[in-house]
Amino acid sequence: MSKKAMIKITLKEEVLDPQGKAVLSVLKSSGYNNIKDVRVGKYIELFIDSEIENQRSSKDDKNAKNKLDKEIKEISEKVLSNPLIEEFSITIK
Amino acid sequence: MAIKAKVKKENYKLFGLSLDEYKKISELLGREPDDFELGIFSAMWSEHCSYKSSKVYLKTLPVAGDNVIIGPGENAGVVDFGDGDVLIFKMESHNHPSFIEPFQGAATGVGGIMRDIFTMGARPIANLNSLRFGSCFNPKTPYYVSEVVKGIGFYGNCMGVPTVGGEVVFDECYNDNILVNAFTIGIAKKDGIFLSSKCEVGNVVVYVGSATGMDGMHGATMASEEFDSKKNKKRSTVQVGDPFTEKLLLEACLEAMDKKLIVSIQDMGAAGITSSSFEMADKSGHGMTINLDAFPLRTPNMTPIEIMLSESQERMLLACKKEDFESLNAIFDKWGLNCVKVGEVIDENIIRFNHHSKPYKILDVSTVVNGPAYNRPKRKPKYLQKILPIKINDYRIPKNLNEIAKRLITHPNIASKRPVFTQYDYTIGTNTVVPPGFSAAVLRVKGENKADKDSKNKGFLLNVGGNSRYTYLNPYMGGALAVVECARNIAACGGNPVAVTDCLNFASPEDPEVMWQFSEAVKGIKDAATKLKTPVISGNVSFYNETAKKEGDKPTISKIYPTPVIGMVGFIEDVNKTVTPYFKDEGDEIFLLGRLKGDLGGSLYMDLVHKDFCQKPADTDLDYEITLQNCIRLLINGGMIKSAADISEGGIFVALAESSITNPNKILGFTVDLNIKELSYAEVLFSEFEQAFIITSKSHSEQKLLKAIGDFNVNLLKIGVVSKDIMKINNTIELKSDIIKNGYESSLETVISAAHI
Amino acid sequence: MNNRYIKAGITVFPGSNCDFDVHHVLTDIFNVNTSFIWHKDKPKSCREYDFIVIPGGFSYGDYLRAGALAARSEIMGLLNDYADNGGIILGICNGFQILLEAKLLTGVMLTNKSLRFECKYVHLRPFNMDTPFTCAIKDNAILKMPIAHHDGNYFATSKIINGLNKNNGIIFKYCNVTGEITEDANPNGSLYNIAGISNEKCNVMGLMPHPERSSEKLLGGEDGGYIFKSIIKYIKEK
Repeated sequence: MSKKAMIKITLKEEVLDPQGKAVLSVLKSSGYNNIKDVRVGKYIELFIDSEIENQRSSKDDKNAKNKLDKEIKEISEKVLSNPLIEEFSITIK
Repeated sequence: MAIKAKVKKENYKLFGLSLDEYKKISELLGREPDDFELGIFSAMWSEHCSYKSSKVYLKTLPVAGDNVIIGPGENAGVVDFGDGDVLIFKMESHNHPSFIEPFQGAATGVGGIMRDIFTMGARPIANLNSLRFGSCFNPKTPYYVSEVVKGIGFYGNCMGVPTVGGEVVFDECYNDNILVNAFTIGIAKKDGIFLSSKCEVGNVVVYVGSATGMDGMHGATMASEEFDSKKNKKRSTVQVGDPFTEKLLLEACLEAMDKKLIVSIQDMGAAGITSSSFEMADKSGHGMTINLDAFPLRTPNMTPIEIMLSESQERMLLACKKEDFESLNAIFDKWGLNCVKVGEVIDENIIRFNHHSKPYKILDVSTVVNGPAYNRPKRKPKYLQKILPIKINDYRIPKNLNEIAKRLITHPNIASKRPVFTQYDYTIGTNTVVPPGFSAAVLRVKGENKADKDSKNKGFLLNVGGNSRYTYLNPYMGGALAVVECARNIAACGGNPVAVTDCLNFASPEDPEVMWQFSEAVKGIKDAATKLKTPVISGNVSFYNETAKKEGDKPTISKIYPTPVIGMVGFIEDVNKTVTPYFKDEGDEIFLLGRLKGDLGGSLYMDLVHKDFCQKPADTDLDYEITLQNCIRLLINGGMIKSAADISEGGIFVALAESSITNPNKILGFTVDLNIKELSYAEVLFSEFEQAFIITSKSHSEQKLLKAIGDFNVNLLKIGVVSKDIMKINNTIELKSDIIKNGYESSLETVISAAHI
Repeated sequence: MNNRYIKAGITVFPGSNCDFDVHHVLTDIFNVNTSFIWHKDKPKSCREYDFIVIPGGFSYGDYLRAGALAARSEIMGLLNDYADNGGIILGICNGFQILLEAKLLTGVMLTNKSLRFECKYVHLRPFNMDTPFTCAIKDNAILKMPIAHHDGNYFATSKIINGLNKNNGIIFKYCNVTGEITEDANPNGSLYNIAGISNEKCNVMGLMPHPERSSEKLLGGEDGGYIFKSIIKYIKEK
């Protein structure tokens, strides 16, 4: 089975989140008073080519694993997120 | 005064002040400033807030006129539109933020200029913009174009303000410095104008809108890292625009204004609360108390100077009568917005800050506000010595002009901007009579009762533009041409130019050659605006559009060409009389109204064909221009012509071609016979910014037109007829209209969609 | 044309921005007695209105999903009852999106195929002339109106589409100038070129294009006016 990289992108803590603000205001007016704040982010899945992924799981090929990790980090940083306002976390399963 | 502490010496640099300015501040205070004071002074004495390098020149611009109610100095300029209505407009740059983060930079630029307009009591009714990007071959250009356009649409569309026009220009000189100039016009009642200068002693000072966060405080944060490195890791962030909140702020402000609950108001733009509080105090001749504890904060534990310098968007500062606060609060509460008392207007010319329930600082208003004014050294640039009148015989004129014609019409600077403006909502508001893509945007204004469909509809016309290459080649002419060209576009629709706003985009004023370009361009604007009776009633200056970079091992500075951009407003008594530039019917006769000089200096033709556009561009005769524009208005008002187009980039060929293929209902063509003594075909067809119009009229109307032109000293030359689907000029050009249309419409899409690859 | 006895309501959510335009057209062009209904106002019912328009805009900034937050606000309960009792509701653009999110209409709106906001003129062909929204349209008429949206790509399961077909619930499709339903004429990737649908009883319609922006000759056409003319005609003949 091929694996995937799950990338969560959220706005940096200090950056204004207009979406979260609007959702919060509707939640409040709908009576959900236990919610203190809302932040809206993005969730992206990358499906990894199984051949490379096989190489990755064979432990003796550490290079391939590092290379793939690096690549996903690079994709997250350069393509998927905007480092000026967003940060991301990667989970590979 | 001697400068003691070394740390502080570094501090003023981080805040962007010069040593002289630091000394001056110390002198004014009688001691060295502390960090809070330094922050305040640096913001108010910045180029952006103080206009310290440009003030002496801006003062020379004409600002008064028959229709002008308020000129420069307030948030925007105001002109009288008759029947108790006023139009309020301004253009502003957001260049640097848009280069750093093009989507948010462009979005907040649009948000900022709209706030300037509704601060004054006007409902924004139209946006325009002038965008400059690097060469379309630059790999980063598609990204900038698509993000900037998305950002402008995101903000304007959500606000419900139509974006009805603008320009998109590509030039290598903007590779490292894109320009985003945004224009907004609003409408208000003459007795419903709100100013920042009306605070009265005893008024409550009120903060409304979004909470304050760490947005856009570059200088301040860098400095604060310096003096408090433990607490403040890099907390400054890119400003994020929230058009939804701004829409609420707009409605809340207009509702409060309608109920006369606001005495004085100022939006928080650059330098946020600092500039709004000091300017409101200064302009009304009073002072304020400001309680820093009262500010709604998005980021906890902000320091006083961080609060003062935050550039969080969608906020306003206002003064209201004490007894009105509760009613005011109720309105902002209805719209779900903060509305907080932060101080009081006082009788002394000072601002008294409180923090943590204790007196914190006192600053003298006029000391802070009256920043320096420089008469910086200037020097005629060396490169201008090489700009000589063109010797056309030195260049080989290409045999195949068809090929050249095709390249011109598909050049991204000429080609249809449809892929851009369809991303903007231009039909909202139900006022757009002439949409983007033609000479000028035309909007009607709704009267009291429009059920009577035949009633006259007064309207106004909008246009923005400027040509930086012509300004580079002749800064004086470039400044004048920007004004003249806007007026031409408005005249070609039948409108009367009334007033202008300007965005002056230049490189560093500390470079004497740039300063010379600036002074010349302003002189050109001054002369043209004076002659055309279009006073400059608002505007903005953006310096430092340059980037240090390395070319190989050699450090160089990439500077933009001087880019004065003009935004012009014109009136038309009856929008039903508006003329559009495109041909209407086969068989109509085509005329050239005006005169041709055939000067190719600076033209796109010279650039594309001979890779050399650096020759002296043609001069514009302002007296002749006025006659010509009056003449075309007379013909339009008399209902005598069916289309009118001016001759700008790409020359007569492009004017004729565009007229054939931009009719929304059909494709047309033309058969033209054009021989001008002593001019080659290339000069006739491709020379730009000629003092002439291409007009059409139904057949057999030459005599009638000549009679109408009568006393005007303007030539009318019949040059051909509107035909079905072929573009034909003498024996030099023969093209199929549908092929040309296809290239014209798809060219820009190719540039933009490259961003997704 | 005295239509002053006809009462129209226009809902206003935070972020609605076509409310004034619809008001202008209903009042100044069609002389209908028109008022705004603020989303927090709590009238006992909406029964006093002969019809209600949910105008376009960016309610709640279109954050989360277009129309999603407005669909969960208090006033929607009243509109639900109003619709149940046969009240006429026209949702334009964002109003359509709100009706979908509120389940008064079926299906969803996806982002335009181009991934861009699209503002342009489109042509529409009516498919059910027997509704309050189309009864004044001349036979075989093709209507020209502008669209201005980012999420107008209508999508629904085949079960929903079958249901719509059964009830003649597909009211308008995008077509070319001669009325053919072609891919080129589809401005946003909408399923089967769908531009407007109704509920089972045909008293609630969602329409992506803006009829209020093409109800005056000066603004380039009066085709949109037929939607409002239809509603007025329907009410008069009821």
